Amino acid sequence: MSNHKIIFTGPVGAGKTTAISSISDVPLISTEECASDMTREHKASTTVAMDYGLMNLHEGERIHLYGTPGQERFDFMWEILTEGGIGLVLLIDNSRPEPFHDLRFFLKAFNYFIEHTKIAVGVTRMDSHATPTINDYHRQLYDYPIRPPIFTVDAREKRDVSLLIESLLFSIDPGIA
Amino acid sequence: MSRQIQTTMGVTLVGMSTRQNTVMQRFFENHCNGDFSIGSADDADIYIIDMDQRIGSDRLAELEQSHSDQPRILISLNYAGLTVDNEEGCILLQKPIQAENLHAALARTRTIIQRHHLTQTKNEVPLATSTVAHSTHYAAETLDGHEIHAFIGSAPDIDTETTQPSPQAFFHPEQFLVGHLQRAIATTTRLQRPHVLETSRGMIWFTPGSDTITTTLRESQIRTLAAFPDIEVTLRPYPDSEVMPAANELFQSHRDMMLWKCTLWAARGRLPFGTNLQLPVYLCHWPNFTRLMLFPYAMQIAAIWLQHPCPLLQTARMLDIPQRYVFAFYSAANTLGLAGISQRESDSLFEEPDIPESRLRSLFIRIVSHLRNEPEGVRERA
Repeated sequence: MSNHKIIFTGPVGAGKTTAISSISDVPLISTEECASDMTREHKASTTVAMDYGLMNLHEGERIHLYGTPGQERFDFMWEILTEGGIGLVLLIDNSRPEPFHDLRFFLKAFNYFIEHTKIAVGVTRMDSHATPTINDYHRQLYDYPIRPPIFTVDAREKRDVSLLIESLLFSIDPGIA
Repeated sequence: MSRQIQTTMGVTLVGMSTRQNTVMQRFFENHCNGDFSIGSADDADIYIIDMDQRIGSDRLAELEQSHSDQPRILISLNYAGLTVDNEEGCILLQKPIQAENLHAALARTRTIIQRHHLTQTKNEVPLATSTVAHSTHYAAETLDGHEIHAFIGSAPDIDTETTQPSPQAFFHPEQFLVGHLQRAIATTTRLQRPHVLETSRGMIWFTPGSDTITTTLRESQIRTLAAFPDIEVTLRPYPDSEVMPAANELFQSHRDMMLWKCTLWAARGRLPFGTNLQLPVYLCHWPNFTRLMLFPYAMQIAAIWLQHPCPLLQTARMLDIPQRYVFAFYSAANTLGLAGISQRESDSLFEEPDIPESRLRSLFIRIVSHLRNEPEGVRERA
């Protein structure tokens, strides 16, 4: 029985928990607590350790879905969680004041992991905050050596999250038939 | 296209004990047919709040400030039966909760949300998509076999040895609706004035600075117009003094989605006239596939072109797929300004590399099959 994992990351409130819930075959295990700091202004509860979900493939094969805590003071967890991962899904909340800063921050924070695997970026909350646009995000990466998928994502929509993961896998291996 | 009501509504429980949470979880999993599910607080559609706990009343006060339009189900020993307060969107349930009362309360919350949705989006009526299995503004459209034919056509592969491909492999976008749409968008942007495109079946409005296109045309009518060349249209400025049709006669679509679809309908697996089959194709970046019509092999093609520019015929050979899929993707991406023929000599100096094969390829195939609800290990080829 083989086990592999996909990592979900992004700032607080970007939709990591929801996205994992959308595609997990088991109820999400989430370590939430009432937010005590500036996070409280954003949401009442927040993930303080990690989210965990699971995709059960045939014959006992599992894909573990890990969501990193979004706050920077838990960044020591990030490297631990990414070890051995297939790839990274980064969710960016388009309603935050500086989404481009968030994008660059997480690309830098996970730079080593991205170099050895791939990343796919999902931009959430574009239904209520249409700008910056997806093309704006691509322009932000013109000076970067990577051209990752960047999709509009509603984290509640399984189809959106699934396509984001598919694009991650096709980025790694276009020959998936 | 406008957002439709979520099939599964997110529910957040507030102020409940671990045991209560477990009982509620079982109720939603086993008795709601997937209509409701417990999720995180940040994206909840409905709150169920235990008002007999202090945190419940605190949280209700917060919700009335921040999410006053979201329905709440309030449970307490002190309420009598089932009561609905339409003004506040609150539904009161007495403990111990009877399953039928909870079902009734949940059904009521769905009605409240639908009413609120209709009020907010009366000017945003979805394009009719009777041919698409699942279509909302917030999910990619995918095609079944019949629909693939409508968008991609069924043209056989062209002879790769010939230096003069048949003219039937090409089309002239400027002669089709997609060409008119592109000119309308360019004119609207250049002049910074609203314009309207008048067709034999209806009208299409363009607003400077907006990604939304408004029309009186249903999707079936757009498809008919888009599929044939030399349609008669008139593009003119649209003054503020001119009254638009009633909101219930209008449809809206994202500009890119309309351009993408109209290109596919016009191209039907062909290439824009003048496309060089020998030179590599470049792709600027991934199309926003979650908000476009996704068809077979589109992701693979995008992934290859982003790794290395590659000629169109070579791409079809590498993926072992019918050329019309590669041509269709190129035509649509070209319309959006994402793809073009590389003019750099360096892109054609070296032989195209083989597709790198990950050691996890077989695993990736199984993951994709799982995500698409296909029998694992059996990926149907279009």
